[in-house]
Amino acid sequence: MKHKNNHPMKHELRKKNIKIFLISILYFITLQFYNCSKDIITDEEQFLLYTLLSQNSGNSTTYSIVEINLRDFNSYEGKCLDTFLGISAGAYFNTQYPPESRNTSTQKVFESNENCSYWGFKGGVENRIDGRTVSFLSYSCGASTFLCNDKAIKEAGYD
Amino acid sequence: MKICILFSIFIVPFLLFAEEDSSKINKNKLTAIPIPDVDGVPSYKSVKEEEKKDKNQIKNSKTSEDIGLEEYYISNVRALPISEGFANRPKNLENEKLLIVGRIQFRGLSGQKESSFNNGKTDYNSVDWNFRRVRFGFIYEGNKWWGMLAQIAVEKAVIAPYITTKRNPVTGSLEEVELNKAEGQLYQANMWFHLPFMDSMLFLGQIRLPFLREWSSAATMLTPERSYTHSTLPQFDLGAQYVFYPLSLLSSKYKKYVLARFSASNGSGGSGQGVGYKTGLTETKSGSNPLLVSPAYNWRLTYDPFGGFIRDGYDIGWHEGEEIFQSNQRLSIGIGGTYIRELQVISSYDPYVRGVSNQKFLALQKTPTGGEITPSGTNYLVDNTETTPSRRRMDLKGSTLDFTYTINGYYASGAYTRFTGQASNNTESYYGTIGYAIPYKDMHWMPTYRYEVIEGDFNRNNRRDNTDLLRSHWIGLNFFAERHLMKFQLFYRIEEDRLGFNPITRESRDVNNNKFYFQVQMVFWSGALKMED
Repeated sequence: MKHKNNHPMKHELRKKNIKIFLISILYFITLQFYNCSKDIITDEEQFLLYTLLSQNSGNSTTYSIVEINLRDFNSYEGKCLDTFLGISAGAYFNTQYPPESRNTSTQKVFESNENCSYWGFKGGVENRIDGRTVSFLSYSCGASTFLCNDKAIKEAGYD
Repeated sequence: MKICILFSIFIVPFLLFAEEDSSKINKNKLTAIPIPDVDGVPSYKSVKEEEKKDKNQIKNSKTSEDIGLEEYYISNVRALPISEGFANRPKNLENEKLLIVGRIQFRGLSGQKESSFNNGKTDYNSVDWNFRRVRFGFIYEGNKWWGMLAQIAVEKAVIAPYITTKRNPVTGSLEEVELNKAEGQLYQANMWFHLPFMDSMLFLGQIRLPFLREWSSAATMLTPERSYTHSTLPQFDLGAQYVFYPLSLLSSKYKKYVLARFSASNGSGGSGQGVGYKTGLTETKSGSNPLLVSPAYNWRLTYDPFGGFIRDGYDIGWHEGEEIFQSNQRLSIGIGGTYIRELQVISSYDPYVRGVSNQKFLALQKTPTGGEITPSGTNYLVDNTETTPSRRRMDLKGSTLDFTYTINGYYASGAYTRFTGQASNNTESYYGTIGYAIPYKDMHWMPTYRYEVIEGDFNRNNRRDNTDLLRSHWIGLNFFAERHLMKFQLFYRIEEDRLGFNPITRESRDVNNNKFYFQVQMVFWSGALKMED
C-alpha cells in the first residue's frame, strides 16, 4: 500500500492552521519593517549636531580619538574613532569626552593625529549622525576580536 | 554530577515506557494505519486491531541466522549512520558498491546598509550571488562490513587566495603574513568498520564530531545557516569515532532506541587548520603556536522513542531533517558533550558587517601550558587570554541538550549548549525552531521560524555587557520540490548585535545588518531513486 501525504482528511486538518501560520509570519515581517526607520534624526542627535557644527575647531589637527578601557588588571579593550566627515574630530572629542572622563583608573582617552590603523585597529564601522552628511568610523579591539595594540595602551597612559 | 542527572532523565523514562513504545518502533508508512475517508472517525478499537495486524507483517529482523544476509544488511547494518545526512545508502550492494555524491548550494544575499552585502547607500540595493556549498565526493561500501567516503569542498578551492601582510606601525617590520581565505578543501574523509560487538562501528579519519545536533549534514537543514553555537568549535577533526547501540547488550528488540557515539581526536581541527601527513598535531607554525597535544573528546547519546527514518520498509536510523516528511510522529532527544584540556582551535562567527572582524565566542590557548617562561622568570602581567602559572591552561567543557519533534507536519526543534572552563567565556547558547510542512502535490511548503541566542563574556571583562549578546530571528519559507534533494529557501534574518557605536551615548548600538537569503540546493546520490517514503 502506497501512502500519500496529501490524504484528504489530513489535508483538512492542516488547512485550518495554514492561515494562522502565514498571518503570524507576515505579522513578524511587518513589525520588523516598522522598526526599521532608523534614519530619522532624533532630538538628541540634532542637538549634538548643532553643538558640533557650531564649534570652531580652529587649527586642531586631531584625526582620531582612542579610548582604552581596563577590563582586568592587565587586559584591555578599546575603541577608536576616525575619518570624521562633516564635523571635526577635535570638536567631537571636546563635546563628548569631558576632561574628567579622559583619564580615570579604568578609562583613558586621547586624541591623535594618526589614523586608527596606526594604533593597531582593523576594519571600521561607519556611524552616521545625520544619515547623510555627518559620519565617522568606529573600531574596536578586545578579546572577542583581536587584542589591543601595546602602542595604543602605552599612549593612553597605562604602564 | 550534572551529566548523571541528565543521563537519568533520559534513560529512566525509556525504561518506564519502553514496553508501551515497542509497538511503535517499526511503525512506518508501509504499515501505517490508513486514515479513512470518513464519514466517521475510526474507532480506537479498530485502530488498535489494525495495528496489531500490521505489527505481524513488519519485517522485524533480529539475527543473521533468521533471515538472509542481504536483508540483515539492509535492516541492521545500513541502519548505522555512516555520516549524518546520507540517508540513501545502497539497497543492493552487489550493484551499488560505489556511490558518487554531489551537492550545490547557490544563494543570493541582500542586506541592509551596514551589512557586507551593501555599499552603504540604501537598504537592499544589491544582491550578492555566491556558492554556499559545492561538494563532491564518493562513498564506497566494501564487503558489507567496511567502507569509506571522501568529500571535497570545491567552494573553498575556487576562492582566489591573496596574501595579506601586516606591518608594525612603529618599526615598519613585517609582523604577520597570511594567505587570506585559505580554507581546507577536504571536507570529510573517513573509513569505517562494522564490528560484531554491540552492532557497533569504528570510524577512522577526518570525522564529523559527535557533539552538536546541528553538526549533522547541512544538506538537510531548515535554515540557510546553522545557529551561533556552530561558530564556537570546529565541526571536523582527525581521529577515531566509535558508534554503538548500548541497549543491544540488553535486548535486540530495543536496541535502536538509543545510539551512542564517542570520539577521540587530535583537537587540532579539520583540514581548515592544515592537516595531513606533513602537518600534524605538533605543528607550531614556525614556533608561533605553542606545542599542545591534548586530544578532544566528544560524545553524544540520542534517544529516538518513535524510530527513525523509514526507507524501503526498514528503519534506517535517525537522519536529521528527513523526519519532517514522515507521516507518523518522530522524536529525537540528544545529549552531548565535549572536553578539551588545552583548546587549540576555535571557530568564529562572521556577522557580515562592513568593518567588523569575526567574533570569537571562546578563547583559545596561544601560550604554553603554565605560562611563557623567560630568562627573567614567568610573566604574570599578561592579557587574560594568555596562560600564567596560576591560569595554567585554557580548558573547555561543553554540554548540550537538544531535541527534534515532528507530528502531522508540525515541526519543532531546539538545543541548549553551555560551555564551562577557562576557555569558555561562560558562553551559553540556545535556539528554537518551529515550522509547519504543508503538502502541495508531491512537494512541501514549510514556513519556518527560528530564534537563536548566544551570550557569554566574550571580551573577558568578567561581566556580560550588551555587546556579549547576539540574537537573531530567522523568518522564512522552505520549498521542498523534492525533499532535500531539491529545495528553495527564502529567509529573512533579523540580527540583533551591538557592533556599532552610538555617537550620542558613546555606547554600542545595533547595526543595520538584516539580510535576505535566497538559497537553492540540489543534491544527488548516484543510484538514488526517488525516495519512496
